[in-house]
Amino acid sequence: MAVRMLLVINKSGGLIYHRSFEGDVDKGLNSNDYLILASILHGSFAIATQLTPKALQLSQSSSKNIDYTVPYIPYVGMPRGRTSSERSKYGASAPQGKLGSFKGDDFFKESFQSWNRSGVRQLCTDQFTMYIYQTMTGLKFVVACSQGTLSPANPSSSNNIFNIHVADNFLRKIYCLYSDYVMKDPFYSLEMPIKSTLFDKKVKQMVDNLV
Amino acid sequence: MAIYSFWIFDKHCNCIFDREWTLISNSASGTINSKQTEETAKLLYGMIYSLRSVTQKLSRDDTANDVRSISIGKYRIHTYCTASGLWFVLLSDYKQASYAHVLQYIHSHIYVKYVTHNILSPYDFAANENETRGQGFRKIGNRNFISSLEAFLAPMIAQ
Amino acid sequence: MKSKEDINQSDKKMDRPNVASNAPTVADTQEMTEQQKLQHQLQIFQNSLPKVSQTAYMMLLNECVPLSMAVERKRGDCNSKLDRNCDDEVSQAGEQLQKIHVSPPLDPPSHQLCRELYEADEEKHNRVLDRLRNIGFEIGNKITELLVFSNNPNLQFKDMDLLSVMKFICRDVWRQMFNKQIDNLKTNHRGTFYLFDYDYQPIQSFALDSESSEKELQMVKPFLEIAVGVIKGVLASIGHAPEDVICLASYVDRPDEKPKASFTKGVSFHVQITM
Repeated sequence: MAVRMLLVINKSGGLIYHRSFEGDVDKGLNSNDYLILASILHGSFAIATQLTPKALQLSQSSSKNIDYTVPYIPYVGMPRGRTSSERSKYGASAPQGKLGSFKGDDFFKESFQSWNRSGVRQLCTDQFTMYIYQTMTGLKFVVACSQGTLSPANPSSSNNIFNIHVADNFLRKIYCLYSDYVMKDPFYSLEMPIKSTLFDKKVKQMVDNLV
Repeated sequence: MAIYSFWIFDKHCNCIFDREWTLISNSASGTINSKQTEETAKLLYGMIYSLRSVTQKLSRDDTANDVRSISIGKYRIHTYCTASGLWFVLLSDYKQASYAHVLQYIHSHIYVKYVTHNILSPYDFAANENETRGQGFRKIGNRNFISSLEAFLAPMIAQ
Repeated sequence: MKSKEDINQSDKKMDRPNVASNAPTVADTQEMTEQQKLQHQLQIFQNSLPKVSQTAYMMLLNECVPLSMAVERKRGDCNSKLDRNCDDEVSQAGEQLQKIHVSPPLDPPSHQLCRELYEADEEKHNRVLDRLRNIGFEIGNKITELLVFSNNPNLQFKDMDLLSVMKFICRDVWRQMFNKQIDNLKTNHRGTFYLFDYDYQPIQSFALDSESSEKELQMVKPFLEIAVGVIKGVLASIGHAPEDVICLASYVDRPDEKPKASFTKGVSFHVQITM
């Protein structure tokens, strides 16, 4: 579950936010390497569309069958006490911090569509797994974690579909934070690196909640 | 669970074998070592290569950190890289988690048996300097390799 | 080949004591017959021999063919150089200088040498085959020594008759070299023998193209010559001079009841001995 790093890539492939959560991870990497990483990930999206296997191109029906709806998985990245009964019990005594402009105790409570339909969603390597969530506007949120899954409830889950869904839920919440703390920042200019300390703080909080 | 195509790349960035199935219902359909897939092979190699260079850089220690699988919307790419620089790549549907054991089997029981031990087949498919760096055109064409690979992969095509 | 006789059956019978002796249990040690004791000793002797990986050994054996071709190439090069340099002392000196300083270039890869051998003219081809037969001949000579003088109780060359010598080749030599026995032995009892090996081990994984072709069979044929040499070598060490022995290898179809191996053809060794 340990999150190693979080990236935000804008729609033209530029790295606008990058944060490592483990000190030794970026030993050998300078900021230029991260820029390269971002553009490679961005580029692989374009290539991935070209690589769609012939069998899938031919059978339209089977590709239509694929459901891009991501189910809502409750309280990913929210403070401990995951069932609603626990939550209401503790909720009264230790009130959660306000979720910015979001109402309720979770950012959203409905399933949503994944807009990452022909790009890389998950990259498994020997040492970490990387998940990419793409918004409708082309913004990409990338998270790398040392274990396969982000789900604190099932830390040993090896079901890839479930893991992708958990990561999508988590990254969509980062997106909510982005919309709340970056988009509403009057000094932020679009497509430029994010320097908001408030966003920093909230992201850190959410990542910590995963553990 | 279904598989769509299978590729082998050698250490010179050349695609030395490719097999693509076009109809899931028919395990004999599709192409073997086709000219038309050349472009696809290059794109596939390029993508894995660049992602691999990234993950190698992000490695926590000095050990190699190889790409195992890449999940892409409708399908999934599984890779298995050997120390000798061979890449075995399999494209499957998006559900299957890991084909590592399958690719490893292909390497150890089919490739080694019918290509490495076959003295009539080259062990390095680039015959000279001009055929390295993705410029090669030689492919694995021997019948033992193809038939045992087909026999091994056929049950997985439409499951 | 008038009175062809299938002596495969008797072959199997003779094999039995060897199998039984593989694991003598502690309980019946007291009742071990003299024969069993000898068997046990042989087993211990064989276990004491240094072991070599079957794979590495087969690879090395097969590399003899491209090696012989490489030697042939080198020889050709030398000859042409000598011819050229006779009237040109200066370039000869330069040539020698180069030999001293630069490490010799690597031989072409094995598959290319095999192809060259296939394409070579008959004279060259025969020279390479002779070289291979000589390698086999040497191996055959030595392997007889090893097998005969290791107190093997399964061997009885009572009156040194040809049949028992051939059986020795089919069973012991073949097992030592290829880890299997000859599948079938046929004879007319007048010095003509046919040894059938339906899945000759060294060539099993060889294949050229998606279709089996005549070219492939011809390219693989030199690999049979080592075994031909071995047969001649064994016979020579037992007292049949190489001049009196004709041994030829050819392809045969596999009988239907044999399981399909990866190489399309079986091998037949035709041995003719004049007495």
